[in-house]
Amino acid sequence: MHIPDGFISPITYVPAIVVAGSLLFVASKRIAFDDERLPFLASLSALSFVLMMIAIPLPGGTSAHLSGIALLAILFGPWSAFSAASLVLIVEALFFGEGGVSTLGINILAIAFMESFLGYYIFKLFEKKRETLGLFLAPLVAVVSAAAFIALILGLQSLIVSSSGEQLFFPFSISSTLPAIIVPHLFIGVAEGLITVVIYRYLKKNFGVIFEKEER
Amino acid sequence: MIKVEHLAFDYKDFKGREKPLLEDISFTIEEGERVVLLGVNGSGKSTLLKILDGLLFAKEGAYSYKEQLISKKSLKKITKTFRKELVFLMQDPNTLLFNATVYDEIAFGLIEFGFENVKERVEAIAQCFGLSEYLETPPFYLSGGEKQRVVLAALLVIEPEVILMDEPSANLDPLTTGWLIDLLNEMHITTIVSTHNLSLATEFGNRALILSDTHRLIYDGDITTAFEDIELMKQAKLIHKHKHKHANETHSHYHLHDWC
Amino acid sequence: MKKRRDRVLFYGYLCLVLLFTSIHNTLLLGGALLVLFLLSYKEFFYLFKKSLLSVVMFSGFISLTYLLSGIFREIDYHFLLLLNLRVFLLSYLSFYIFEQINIFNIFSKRLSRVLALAFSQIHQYKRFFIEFKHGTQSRWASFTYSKWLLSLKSMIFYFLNKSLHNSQEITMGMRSRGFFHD
Repeated sequence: MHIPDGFISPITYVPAIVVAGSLLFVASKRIAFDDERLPFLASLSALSFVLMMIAIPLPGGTSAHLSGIALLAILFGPWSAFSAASLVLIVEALFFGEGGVSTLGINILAIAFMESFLGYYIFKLFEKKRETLGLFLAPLVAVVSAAAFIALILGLQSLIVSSSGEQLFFPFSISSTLPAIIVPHLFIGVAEGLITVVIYRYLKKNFGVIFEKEER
Repeated sequence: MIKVEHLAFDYKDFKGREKPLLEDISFTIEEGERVVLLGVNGSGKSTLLKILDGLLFAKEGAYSYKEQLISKKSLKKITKTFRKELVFLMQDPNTLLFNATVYDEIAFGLIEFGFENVKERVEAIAQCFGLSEYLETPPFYLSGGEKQRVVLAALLVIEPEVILMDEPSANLDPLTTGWLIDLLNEMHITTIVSTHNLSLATEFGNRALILSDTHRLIYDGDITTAFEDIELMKQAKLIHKHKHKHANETHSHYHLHDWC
Repeated sequence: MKKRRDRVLFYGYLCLVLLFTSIHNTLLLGGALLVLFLLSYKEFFYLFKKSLLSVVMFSGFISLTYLLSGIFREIDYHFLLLLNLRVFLLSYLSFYIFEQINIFNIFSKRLSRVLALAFSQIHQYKRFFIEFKHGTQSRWASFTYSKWLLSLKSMIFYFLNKSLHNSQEITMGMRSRGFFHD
């Protein structure tokens, strides 16, 4: 879920851009963003984009989008997944007009950063003893936490009011945003968890060569 | 100019097993020759071109360019001259485009290899390739044929001595393909073109190298002679038989078909 | 040169975004929107439609919920106007500016190359993705989750393989053109 421009106050989005920018800078040092890695990163971001485009068809003609970032983090490491997903969000905001420019920092922190790192480390925690449980929980926790973060940011906006007490930005308080955003994402998370288990197994069986590579 | 001796190359499949892709390949190409590399899909044409461009390195055998043995190590010393003299039009033009505008794309090689009068050169070749109006456009906004022209302009602007082309007609419409053939005829540089489009093959060159689906070189010689040799073409799996009609009479014989 | 113009426009745009999210006067925001309409008069209908489509879901949903919440509390119509005006203004402004500039020009050479490569790959994948969807649609008589999962597996396999392959191909393409000084 991308937040458009206009709902978030500068006092929230400016720090978020600074933090997201710093994390991307660290990422560029961490995975040695050298020239030879550029094509890999670009291809990985295209893959991430496709994963985000996949919609789980729901009864009644609606659908819910996957994120696939936890799966990417498990396969290629958290820093690569974070950088790739961030690139997708940047391209979407700047070229496709999807998701705001001012809210890019928040979207990067929630979707790209939290989902990559939570997904990766939760999987690592379970990998040795209960791999399947880890594969299921990693995207579930990642997706729900990212949703909770966005709900928190949106909810906080209701506290920012004019001197006469008038609302200025997103109008609903945390007590309404949290359940409204988290509950649907719990279902998406469960679906994504199940799909991740199936896909990971399938890839391990049929695409063994990518599991031989060192952590990127 | 180009000499290949007993070349062999393996690749890893999805499960990580090594499989041969080129076996015991030998040939020599002189300056100014126009060679067509023929073979079915998966016969190893692209890989052979990548080896000639110093992007992949053979497991066995030797490849030398202007009497200089090309290996990972030796290439490091001569990268700049090698990359300037030998250019490679890869199968998918998207893989060769990475600059913000068409101008930057064409200027890239000129700057990289230390040419002077960059601006004039870019403008001149853009004019000649019909790209003048796109100079400020990002290359990936263009259509497939236009992208191919941008890539060709970017590669040819640095005045190379050899051009390698991997299925150049696969991404082009008939008109642009004709334009490309005329262009190559005028340029008099060494060309090595891979294709499985037999009707165009004779336009691209007069000497054929044919790879079999068992990854070996089964023919090296005049291209028209090769096309007349039915047994050879059958062995290369470049021709096939199917039933069809001629004036109400159904029969079948071997065909040269373009499978584009 | 065009690069400098694009940069100036882009940074000016960022300042405007900051400004429009910092002032809360409907008259000023409305005035700004009017000026923008005049500036972009040639593409007015195109930009108007594009902006409206891009914000209508989120804004509409929030506005409706806010109106419904009026059952329990007092509704501030001025706030509703302010919020929707600002969201629309920012969307219109963004689309207008992005039409004017080549975004690859505003970043450093290196960053613009990453973005250019990512954009070009994403663009291609988007096309392939839609092809894939059409492909399955044209072959399915009816939808079932098991068929969907089956197609999902092969699709992810295809794109993963394509990503690794393209990554190698682009590296080779760049090397072939003399990009890496190895």
